[in-house]
Amino acid sequence: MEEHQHPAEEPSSPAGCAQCGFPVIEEGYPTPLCATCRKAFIRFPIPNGIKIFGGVILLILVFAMIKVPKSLSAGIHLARGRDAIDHARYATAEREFQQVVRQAPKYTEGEEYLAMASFYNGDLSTFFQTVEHLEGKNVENEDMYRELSRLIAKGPNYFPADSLFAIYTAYQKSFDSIPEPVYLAYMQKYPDELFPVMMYASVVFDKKQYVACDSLLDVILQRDEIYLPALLMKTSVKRERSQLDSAEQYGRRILALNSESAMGMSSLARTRLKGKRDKEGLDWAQKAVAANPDNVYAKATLAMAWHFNNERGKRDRLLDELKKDTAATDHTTYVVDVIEGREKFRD
Amino acid sequence: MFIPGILISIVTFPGVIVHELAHQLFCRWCKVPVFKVVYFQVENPVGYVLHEVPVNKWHSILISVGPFFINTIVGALIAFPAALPVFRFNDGSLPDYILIYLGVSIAMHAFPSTGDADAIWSHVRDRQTNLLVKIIGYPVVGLIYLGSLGSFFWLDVIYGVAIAIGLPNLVISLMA
Repeated sequence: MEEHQHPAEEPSSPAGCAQCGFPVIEEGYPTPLCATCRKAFIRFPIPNGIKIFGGVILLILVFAMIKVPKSLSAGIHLARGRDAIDHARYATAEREFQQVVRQAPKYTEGEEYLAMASFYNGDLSTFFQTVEHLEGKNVENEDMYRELSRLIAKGPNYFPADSLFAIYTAYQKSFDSIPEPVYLAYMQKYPDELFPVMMYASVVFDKKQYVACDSLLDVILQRDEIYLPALLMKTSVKRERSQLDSAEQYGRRILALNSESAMGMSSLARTRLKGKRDKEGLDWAQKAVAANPDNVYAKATLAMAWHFNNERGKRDRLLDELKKDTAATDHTTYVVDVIEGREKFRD
Repeated sequence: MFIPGILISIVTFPGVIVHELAHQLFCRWCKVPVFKVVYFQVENPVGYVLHEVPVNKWHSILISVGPFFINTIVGALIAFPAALPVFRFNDGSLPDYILIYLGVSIAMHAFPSTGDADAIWSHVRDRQTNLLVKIIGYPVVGLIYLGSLGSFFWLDVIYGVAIAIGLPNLVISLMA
């Protein structure tokens, strides 16, 4: 596989073209050739078989080029997703791995990362769907296997067991309607379940029994230190108890788990607003909405931040938007109550 | 395990043909007469192009190293879309495996041969050759000889695999 250079003709060669003998040769070249023969050798024929081979290679090249954008896109999503996982940016990671799994459905590792990202991003429906899809597949990475097993074991904490669900059904399908004695009896009977403790803590919080709520949340967090609903409620309880440093600390814990948590950022925003650090509160609220523009808690927090920063127009426009969203009703009502003085948010 | 180079060349013959075709096309573009082309044969050398000594020294270098660029670029582009499905996503289809085979085959024959190096060497050592050609020519010859030496240690295969598999990953990490 090489090139050989034809040696120059000896001066003693007969005059004329070395190929056809034509007396007039082109000067200045090592091989004495007439113009016609030189041109012919320059265009040395390529055999048909090689032309066909070259054509096939060209066609394959075109075929490959057509496939490049899809492959490139999948690869970029994968690289961005892994980088986001490394930096605990789970909202980005979930978004990127959704794309990876869509483009490469047989890529088990992509599903593993998607499951992990969705859990830390609080998207439990995607987490359980993905875990179900992973069932029976071999998870080769041992660290990932351990992490997923740990997260899957936490799954039941987020849903009512059948026995609690029966009680929930009996009380107009509302956990808030279940009487306190029923909760207490249930928790005594099923001490391992975290979900009823969380629901009970929520009932106690609504009754403004913040000290009791705080203790219940401690019980939960001692058993599951990354239980997101409890961490979130902790930030609210600590705010209500005017323990702003502690509220800040729990908000930071949420962000340490997922640096893109809109809920974590919103909780920090509310803590700053409560401490009358309104500009900082507004900054965090804007970051929260930027991290997840669909998160109604984040939007409600931003409306509150606009209020305390005397941006009434922006506040009212956002509230008008929130009022149209039935999923935002509780959060909107709270903000409106704060604005109209029915709810005392800060001194 | 010792695998004769000729056997590797037989298995990866598309790369040899592309290499020789590239030599021939560079001769044509540089208007250098070609007297014989062997695109592939089952003996050493597995392919070669016999052409006139170029008058222009740059043309000599271009004809020698042209296939390096052609084989590298064609091999990389062909293997690019298949590298991720096959080696990362475990989702490769038959066409993907064909693309990988072709990409590696073509890229691993990118390295110029010692014959190519000899051709440049004879030009750069010529007293009449200008300094710039010598400055570029000597390192090129050195690298070609090194590459040729490295083929004993499968450097050509490693290069082919790196181009076909490593390059897509590098491009992706730069773009991500």
